[in-house]
Amino acid sequence: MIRITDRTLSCLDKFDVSGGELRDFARLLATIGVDWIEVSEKAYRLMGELPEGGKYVLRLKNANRAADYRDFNRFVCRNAQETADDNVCAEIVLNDIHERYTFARYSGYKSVRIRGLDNLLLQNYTSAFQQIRDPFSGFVEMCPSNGAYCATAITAEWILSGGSDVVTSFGGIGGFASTEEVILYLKLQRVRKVGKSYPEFPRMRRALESITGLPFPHSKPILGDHIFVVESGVHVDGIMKQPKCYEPFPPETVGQRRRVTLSKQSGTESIRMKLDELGLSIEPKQIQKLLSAVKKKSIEANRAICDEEFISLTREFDASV
Amino acid sequence: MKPRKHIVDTTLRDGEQSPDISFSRAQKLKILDALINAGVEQIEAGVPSSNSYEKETVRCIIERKGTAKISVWSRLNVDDVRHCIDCKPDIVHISVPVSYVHIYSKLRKNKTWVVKQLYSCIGLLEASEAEISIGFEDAFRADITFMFTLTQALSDLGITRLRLADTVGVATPTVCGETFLQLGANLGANAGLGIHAHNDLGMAVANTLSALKNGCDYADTTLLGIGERTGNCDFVKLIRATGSLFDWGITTADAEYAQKEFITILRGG
Repeated sequence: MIRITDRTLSCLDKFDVSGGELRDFARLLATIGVDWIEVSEKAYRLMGELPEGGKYVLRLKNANRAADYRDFNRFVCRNAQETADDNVCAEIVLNDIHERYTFARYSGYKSVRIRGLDNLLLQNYTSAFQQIRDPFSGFVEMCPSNGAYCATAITAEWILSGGSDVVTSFGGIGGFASTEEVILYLKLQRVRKVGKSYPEFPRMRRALESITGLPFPHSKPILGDHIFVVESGVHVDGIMKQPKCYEPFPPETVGQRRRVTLSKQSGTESIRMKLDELGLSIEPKQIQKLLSAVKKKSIEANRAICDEEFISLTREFDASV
Repeated sequence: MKPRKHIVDTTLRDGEQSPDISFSRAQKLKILDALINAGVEQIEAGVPSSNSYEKETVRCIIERKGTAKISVWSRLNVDDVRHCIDCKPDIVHISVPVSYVHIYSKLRKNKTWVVKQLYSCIGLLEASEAEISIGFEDAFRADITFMFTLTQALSDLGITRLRLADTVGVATPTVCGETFLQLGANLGANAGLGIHAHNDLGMAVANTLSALKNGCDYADTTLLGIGERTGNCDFVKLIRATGSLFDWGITTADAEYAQKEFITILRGG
């Protein structure tokens, strides 16, 4: 059984966010297959009540204050050395696997979270995972940081090595593995039964962008709004024949749709696909000429050409368009 | 002493497949200069068969290349290979579809056709001075036994440069490492293996790192990680993440400076 704890709502304390926005995001998290939703004390105060449908973890600043929060039966705390509350998970920050000598302090804990290990893939990560598991009798959560751009991969490898509990954040906010990347990894590798599709991902992206004021890159895995825009003629041709050729999963799986842009790299299939998309048709023998015109215009403009420009070019070959 | 590894930058080829990016010839030459100044040893210039403008741009890049090696990209198609030879590059890279979805659904051919076509393309190149590099497209969804067959053929022909492409970005580090170990052993001691990773699941840097730890010497990158869909392995991120383990012949500061110049070029500077 693989369990995902999403910690997005404990990473937003520095932003000007309302309780309503936090509650809405928690409701969305509960729909995408995360098992636990982690909130900070500040976020919990703002939320007032916890939306139904989710299971919640509270991030405590002081481990001895767990009893003050009766809505929760699970907690995580970075400074947890002085509590023996079995419901508190001790978060252990490791910059490097060689710092595992600190584990002795936490041997009495029923649950620990290992956070950090940005550079783990530079080392022998298989044996490192074993060295992490061996000292603890309870469950161990893996929460890799993304300082070396490998957090999702470390999470995937932890799962492949037999690890069951992982901690992520939506969009990788706060510098962790991205929840949506881990979910799609689990789906594609059939490691765990997950949902058929995630139509709420774009809404979640927009909600987070609104809270943080920081737009995600157009090419952000899973979430980017340009990741299913196809330009190269080779790729359009392949996708027309079988989308799996150049798409790891259908765009609809993550609430997106495929679009074709036309440029100097386009091919005849790109032209056919764009004509279909716009509900246009011209004589088949004109398609090659139209492609040449598209490439010429793209080179002159040094960019892709927009739909209006394409329609205008098409009219030059067929006035009835 | 850290193992020596090499960047093959493909900003000018695969990077330009990013839907919001289009380079003019002048911009490509400026990007070339930025990469050469950073110390990049191999630069993938483009696809000569794409159109006459692209082919002429590739020729201009080759004239200006300095000490860098320039490679050009070709489909598994003799006409495309001829366009490549016309440009007189240092290296011609032929992309060979190896997964069943690419062979049977995209090409609508079979494995025998792929092998025959590979021999035809290589035969054409043997008369030119260009080094031959072979790429296995969609290698991480492919049948490993078919890839063994192809690597044996390459070995028999004396071809040692082989690049594995994670075309839709679904590989994981352990899978990457194991595949490189297996195919590297099949290609022999002189194998020059390369990795071309895409970032669809956010693992392009991790997969490239894993390949490099397991016999791969050449890493494909792009500036800012640009490229189709979610892009390629990011040049600066790879150098930053792995500089403590590998000698790239490129400092992090030089890589970051090249990226800064690239951003200026994109903004019209």
